[in-house]
Amino acid sequence: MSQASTIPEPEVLDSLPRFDLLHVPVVGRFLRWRHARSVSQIPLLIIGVLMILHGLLGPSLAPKNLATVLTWLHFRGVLALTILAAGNFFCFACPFMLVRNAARKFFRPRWNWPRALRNKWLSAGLFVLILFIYERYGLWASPWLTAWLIIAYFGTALIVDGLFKHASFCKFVCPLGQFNFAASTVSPLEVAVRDQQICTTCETKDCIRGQRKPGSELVILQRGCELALFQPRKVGNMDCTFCLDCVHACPHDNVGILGRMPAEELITDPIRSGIGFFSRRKDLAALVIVFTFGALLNAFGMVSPVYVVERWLAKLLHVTQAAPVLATIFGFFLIVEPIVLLGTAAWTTQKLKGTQRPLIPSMVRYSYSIVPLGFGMWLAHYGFHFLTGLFTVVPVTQSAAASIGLSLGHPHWLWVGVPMRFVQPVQLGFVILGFFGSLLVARRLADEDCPEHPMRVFIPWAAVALMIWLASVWLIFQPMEMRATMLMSN
Amino acid sequence: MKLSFRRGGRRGPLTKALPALLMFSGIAWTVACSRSAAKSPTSITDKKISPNPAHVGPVTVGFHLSDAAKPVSGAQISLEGDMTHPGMAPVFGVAHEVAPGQYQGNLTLNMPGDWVLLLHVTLPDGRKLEDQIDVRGVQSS
Repeated sequence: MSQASTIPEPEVLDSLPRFDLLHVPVVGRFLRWRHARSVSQIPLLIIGVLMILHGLLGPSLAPKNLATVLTWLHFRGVLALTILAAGNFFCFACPFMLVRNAARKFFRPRWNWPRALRNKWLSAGLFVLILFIYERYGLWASPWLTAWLIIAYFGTALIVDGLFKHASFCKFVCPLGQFNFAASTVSPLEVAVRDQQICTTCETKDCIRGQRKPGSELVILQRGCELALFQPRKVGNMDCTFCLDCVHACPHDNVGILGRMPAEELITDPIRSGIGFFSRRKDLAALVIVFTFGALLNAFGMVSPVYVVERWLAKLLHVTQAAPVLATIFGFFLIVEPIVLLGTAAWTTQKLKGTQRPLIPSMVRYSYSIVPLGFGMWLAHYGFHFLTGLFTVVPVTQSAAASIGLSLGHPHWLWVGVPMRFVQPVQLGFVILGFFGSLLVARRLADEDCPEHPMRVFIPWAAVALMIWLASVWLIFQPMEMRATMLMSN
Repeated sequence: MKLSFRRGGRRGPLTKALPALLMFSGIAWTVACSRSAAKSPTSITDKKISPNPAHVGPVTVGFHLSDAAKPVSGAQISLEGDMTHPGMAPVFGVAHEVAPGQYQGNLTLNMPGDWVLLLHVTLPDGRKLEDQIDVRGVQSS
């Protein structure tokens, strides 16, 4: 039999039934249950409250406190790995939304989110702010500050969604949500319609309007999508919190959690419900640039060479404070470096006559190609802390229980995690995976943009991906230094 | 028209939120009060670490233990070194008395970065005391 005959044609592949998590026994049944989200949120809320209490009242040493251990080791690691393996299930189980929903029983929001802020500029700025505060105040080393960060999160979610209708906090404010949205563009699962034909004949559009009480249109029995994603026009995971409101609202049981090729949504540019065209969203491009270069920046903050750079900058700027030095490093990583790299690639593409797009639209269009690399670096970084500190939650929990009179045995402080020598190959694997993902996206975009000479577009953007990848690999092999900034210690 | 003030009818949003506010106030009060623990008259002074600045590898920790200016002898002291970042294995050691009230011990710092050295002291009368030394910016050897 010839090899050609064993490979199904693309049309045949398209016609095959897609994997649907909602059809998986037990898991699917649970997720289809109306209260699945609340039940998933409650344990996280309890853990969140315990983290706050331990952060405020417990030991001030970060390795002995649940607030810092769970936030900076386990939560970040589990979050990134879940997005890689499945999808945006953290937003699904987000405890902030449980509190918000409870609060909305008392305070009905009155206003719509301001039109001028209906974009990602604010949330991308808040994302940068969180990264800056993390570095400037050494959040990883302070249970007290970490607890207040969690409280601030709860407070902000309550205030924003207490005042503004729909899921304004998730869509326009939450920096963590934006991280999840950007990362989940490379997830293998998405909330999507099973059969488009059914949607074309649907008259109720409950997936976005919500299920109304028969005869009483103002009474909503089941909420529709709060993030303005109309299922038949929804593409991919951007802005999707996996809340599954659409699944419950659809009267035809036509919404599932379907399998797809990771990063698939980055290689196409259709008009997307609630989003528009990726290629026209400068704010979204800014978000994915911050997401990708922020991964490098965040990792750079924990390796030895940052000492040298900080000292050199302090001398150059004649300052002794950490803030201006950090601000300079942030400016370089998040503004100068992206502009130089992406700008050069876009300019080269133009010079090679690969694309007719002007410079900025070209940068916007291809900025999405670096998302897999960025996610690869976040995975490498968060995966490192998660795996090397995997078991530390055990002695910290034992110690926390002992402090309130519960005996869970003597704390095993030497229970740490997977040895670093085993973790480094995993880290390398993540960034290699990200690199090939970015190459694939860049190539597909180039094919679409310039079918006659795709290499004229692909090569400059592949060079950008290569440079980011080399920087990622270099960072992974640098000696780790678990520290606050050098200037803070002076 | 007769006006009346209703009691026990629909509660306003502020009244409904009162339990949450009270709970939050309770937590804030507990946090504020938890920081004022009784001070022991026994003190640990003259804390030193060598080499200074510290490098990855063995370091010697020395300090003086006194009670109302009198040296305290015969204390049992264990040393613990933790990195400020969670997720790293702590290192342990023991300090011995090298002169009346003067104690010294060794720890091996196995990674560059910021460390906190904990001194777990058991006084001769059984009382326990804890202190810490912040060691910032331990450099590669």
